[in-house]
Amino acid sequence: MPNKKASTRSFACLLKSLQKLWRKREVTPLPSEVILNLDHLTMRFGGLMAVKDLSFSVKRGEIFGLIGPNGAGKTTVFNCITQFYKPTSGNVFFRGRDDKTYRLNDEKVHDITMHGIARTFQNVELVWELTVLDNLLVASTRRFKSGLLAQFLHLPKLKKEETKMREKAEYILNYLGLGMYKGLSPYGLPYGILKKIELARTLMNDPELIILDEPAAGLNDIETVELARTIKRIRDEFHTTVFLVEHDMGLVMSICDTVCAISFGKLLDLGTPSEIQQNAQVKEAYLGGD
Amino acid sequence: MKKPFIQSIKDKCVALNQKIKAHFAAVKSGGFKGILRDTGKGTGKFFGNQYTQFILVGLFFVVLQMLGTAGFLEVSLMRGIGGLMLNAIVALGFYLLLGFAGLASLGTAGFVGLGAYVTGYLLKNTEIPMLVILLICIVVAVILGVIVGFISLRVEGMYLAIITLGLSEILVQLFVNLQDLTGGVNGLAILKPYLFGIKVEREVAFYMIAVVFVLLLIFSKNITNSPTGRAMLTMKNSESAAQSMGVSILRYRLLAFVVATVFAMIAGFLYIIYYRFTIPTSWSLAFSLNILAVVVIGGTKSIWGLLAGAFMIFGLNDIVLMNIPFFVANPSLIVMFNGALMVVVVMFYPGGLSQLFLEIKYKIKLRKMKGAKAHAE
Amino acid sequence: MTFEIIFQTILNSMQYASILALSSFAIVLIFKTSVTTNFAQGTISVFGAFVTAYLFTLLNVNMFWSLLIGVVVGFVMGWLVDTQIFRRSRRLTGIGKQMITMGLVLFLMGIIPAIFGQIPLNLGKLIPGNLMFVMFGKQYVINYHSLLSTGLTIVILTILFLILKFTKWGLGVRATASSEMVAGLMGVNTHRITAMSWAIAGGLGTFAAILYGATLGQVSPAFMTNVQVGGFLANILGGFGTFYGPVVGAVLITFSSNLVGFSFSVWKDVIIYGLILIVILFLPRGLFGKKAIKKV
Repeated sequence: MPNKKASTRSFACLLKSLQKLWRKREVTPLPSEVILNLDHLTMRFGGLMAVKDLSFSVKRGEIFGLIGPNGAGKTTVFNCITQFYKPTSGNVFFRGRDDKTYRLNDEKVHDITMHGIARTFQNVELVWELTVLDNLLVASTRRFKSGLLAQFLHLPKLKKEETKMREKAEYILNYLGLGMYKGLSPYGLPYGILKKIELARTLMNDPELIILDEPAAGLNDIETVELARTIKRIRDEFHTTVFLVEHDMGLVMSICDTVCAISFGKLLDLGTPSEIQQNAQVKEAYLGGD
Repeated sequence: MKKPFIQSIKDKCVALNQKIKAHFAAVKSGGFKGILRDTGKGTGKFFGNQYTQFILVGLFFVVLQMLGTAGFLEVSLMRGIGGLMLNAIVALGFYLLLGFAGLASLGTAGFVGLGAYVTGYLLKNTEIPMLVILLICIVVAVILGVIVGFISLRVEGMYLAIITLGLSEILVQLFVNLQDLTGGVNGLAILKPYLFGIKVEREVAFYMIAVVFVLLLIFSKNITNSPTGRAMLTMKNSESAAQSMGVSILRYRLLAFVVATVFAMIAGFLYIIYYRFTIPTSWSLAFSLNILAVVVIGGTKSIWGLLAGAFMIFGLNDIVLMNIPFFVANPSLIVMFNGALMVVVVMFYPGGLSQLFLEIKYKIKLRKMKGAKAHAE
Repeated sequence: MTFEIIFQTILNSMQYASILALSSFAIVLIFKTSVTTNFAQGTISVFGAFVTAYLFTLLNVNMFWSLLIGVVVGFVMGWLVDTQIFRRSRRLTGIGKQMITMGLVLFLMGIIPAIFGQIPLNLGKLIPGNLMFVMFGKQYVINYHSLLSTGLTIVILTILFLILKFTKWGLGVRATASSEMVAGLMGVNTHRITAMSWAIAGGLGTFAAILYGATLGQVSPAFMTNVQVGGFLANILGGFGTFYGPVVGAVLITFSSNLVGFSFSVWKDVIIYGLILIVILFLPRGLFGKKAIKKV
C-alpha cells in the first residue's frame, strides 16, 4: 500500500464507514427461494482483473457447483463470498436464518459464520495441538455464552455448555463415521479423513450454507464417490445449501443441481449439469474436462 | 442400503442418550468431586486431580515456609522458593501468550519492573491500601496489554519481538532516569507494608505469593481448556481458519497480551512486597531471556512442564547451585550452564520438558490399557 | 542547530555508525539466509574481541595480528554455530533457532570470564590521536581511529555488496535468502551458503567489536549489548527485506540519536525508539521493506 498520510487515511475510513451505514439501509430483500446472490461481483488486484462482473443466484437447498479451468478465478469468488477479500465492486447478498437479507460486503470475516455460513479450506486447516473433537468445538466458539470470568473459573455454567457442545460434536463425528478419531490429534491421520473432519466442522453451527473449496482435491475415485454421497446426505438430512468450487467434473456432474462455469473471471454459462456439458464454449475452455 | 444406515444412526443416538444419562447420574452421586472427575470425559483429562495437585504444591511451599520461620530450614531456601514462584507467575503469563496465541513478546522484564516500581512508589508515598494498588496495577496492565496488542496487529513476528524488546529497554531507561520517582540507579526501597492492618513480614509476603501462585495456576489451567484457549490455539495455527469460524483475531490477540501483561505486573507487585527493594538492572534483557528459556525448556504443552522449566532455570540457581562452592566462586558458570542447557534442550528435545511429561503420561496410560485388555481377555 | 553543529555531529557519529552498520548487516545476512534473528551477534563478536584484547594487551602481540586472529576466531565461531549446532538439531523451527542464539548469549557470557580470567580487558586504538581541520572557517575534530574505522567499514561493505550482486556466490546467497528450499532444488549448496553467512557475520561482528572496544578503551562481556539492540532496531527500521536497508537504518539511527542527544541527552533513546515505532506503524516492513501477499 502506498504511503498515505495518516490524516488522509483516517478521513477515507470515515467516508467509507458513512457509506457503509448508508448502504446498510437500502438492501433489497432476496426472493425467499434464493439464499445467496452475487450481484455484478468484481475483484481487481492492482492491474489484474480476477473476477469480472459475475452475477448468479444460489437457491435454498440446492447443491451449486462453480467450475472453471485453473486461474479462472474460482478461489477468488470463494474468498469474496466469505469476505477474505473485500470485492472491488458489486455485492454479495445473503438471506439469513431470520429471512432477512444481508449484504456480506459490510461484514467482517469473523462475523460471517454468525449468519450460518461455514467453509472448508483447500489445504486442510486443522489444529494439530487439539484433538479432533476439540477441533470441532472451535467452530462453536461464538455459541458459548459464558463470559471470560466463567471461563477463568470454570463455573458450572461453562461446564454445562461444554458438555452440550461435546455431545453435539460427538454426534456429528459419529454421523460421518469419524467417531473413533474423536480423542486423537489430527496429526498423521489419512488425508481423506482430515477432509471429512473439516466437513464435520462445518456442521457444528447448523449452517444454512456450506461452502466447500475443492473438496475432492487429493482424493481418489472411490473417496470421491463417497464424498459425493456424503455431501448429498448432508444436504438432505441437515437441510443446508451446499456451494462448491470444484475441478473434478465427475463430482460436480453427479451431485450438483445447478452449475456455473466461469473462465478468466467472467461467466461462461449457468444451468443444469447436462446443459453445461453441452455448451461448446465450456468444453473449449475446459479442454480435457469431462 | 439406506434403512440399516438410518437405523444405525438411531442406535447411536440411543447409546449416546444412555451415556448422557449415566454421566449426569454420576455427577449427582459424586458431588463436587464427581463433577470434577466427569467433565474431563471429552479430552480424557482429569480436572479433579489437577486442581488438588496445584493446591498441594502451594500447601507444600507454605509448610516449608513455616518450617523456615521456626528455624528448621535455611532462610536462603525460602528466598529461593519465593523467587521461584514469582518467576513462575511471569512464565505462566508468557506461556499463555507464546504457547497459545503464538505471539512473541520480549517486553516481560519491563512490565514486571513496572509493576514493582508502581507498587513501590505508591506504597512508599501514599496511603493507598495494598489491594487497591493491586487493582491499579491490573488496570495499568490491561491498558498496556491492549496497546501492545494493537501494535501486534500491525507488526508481525520478528518485528514484534524486537519492538517489544525495545519497549522493555525503554521502560528500564525510565526507571533509571525518573530519579525522583524511582530512586534511579540506587533503586527503590520501601518499609514493610500493611495489609488489613497486619504488618507484612517476609513470611506473610511468602504466603501471599503462594496463594496468588496457586490461583493463577488454576486460572491458567482453566483457560487452556476453555473455548478461549482453543480459539487462541486455532488463531496461532491458522488465522484464516480461525476467522472463518468466528474467532476475531483482534479480540483474542488483545486478550492474550492483556493476560500476559497482567500476570507480569502482578508478579512485580508481589516482588516489591517480598523483597522490599528493586533496582533497574534487575529488569534487563537477561530476565526476559530467562523467562523465554523457561517456556522453551518447559515446553508449551503442559503446565507442569512449565513449572519444571522454571525450576531448572531459576530454582536450580537459587536453591541448589548456590550451595555448591564451585558455582558460588564462579557465578558466571551458572549463566553458562543455563545457556548450554537451553541450547541442548532445543537441539535435541524441542518439545521441552512438558513433552517429556506427556510422553510419560501417555506411556502410563498405554500400560493401563494393556493391563485392562489382558484382564478382559 | 547550525551547520557547524550538524557537521560535527556527523563526524562524531561516524565511528558508531560504522560499527552499527557492520553489525546490522551481519544480522540481516543471517536472517535472510537462515531465517534466524541472531541474538548472539553481539556476544560472539565480544568473544572474538576478547581474543584480540587478550593477545594485544596480555601477550603483547602486534595489533595487526591480534585483530586478524580475533576476526578469524569470530569467523570460525559463526561457522561452528551453523554447522555444529543448527545442523545437528532435531526438527528446528524459526523460534527454535532464536532460542538457541539466546542460549548461546548466556553460554558465552558465562564462559568468557572463565576463559579470559581478568575482565574487563584493555584494548588500544588502531591509530592514536585526533585530526583537527578547518572547513568554511569553523574548526572540526575527528580522531584517526574513527576515520580509519569508517574507511575500512565502507570498503568492506562495498566489497560485500559487490560480491552479493556480481558473483555466483552472491547469487547463491540471494537465492537462498529468497527461498532456501527452492534454491536447493536449483542446485545451490545452501548448507555452504548458510555456513559462510554465519562465518562472515561472526567475522564482521568481531571486527566491529574490536573497533568499538578500542574506542571505549576496554572490552567486557556485555559491552556490545547496545550494539546488539541497536542492530535489531536498525533492521526493523530499514526492514529485513533488503541487504542495504539495515545499513541505512544503522546510519540513520546513529545520526538522529546523536542529534537528538544534543538537546535531550537523557531522553534520546526513548525519543528514537518512539520515532522508530511510529515509522513501523505506518510502514510495517521498514523503510525499504517488501510486502508479502498471502494467498488463502
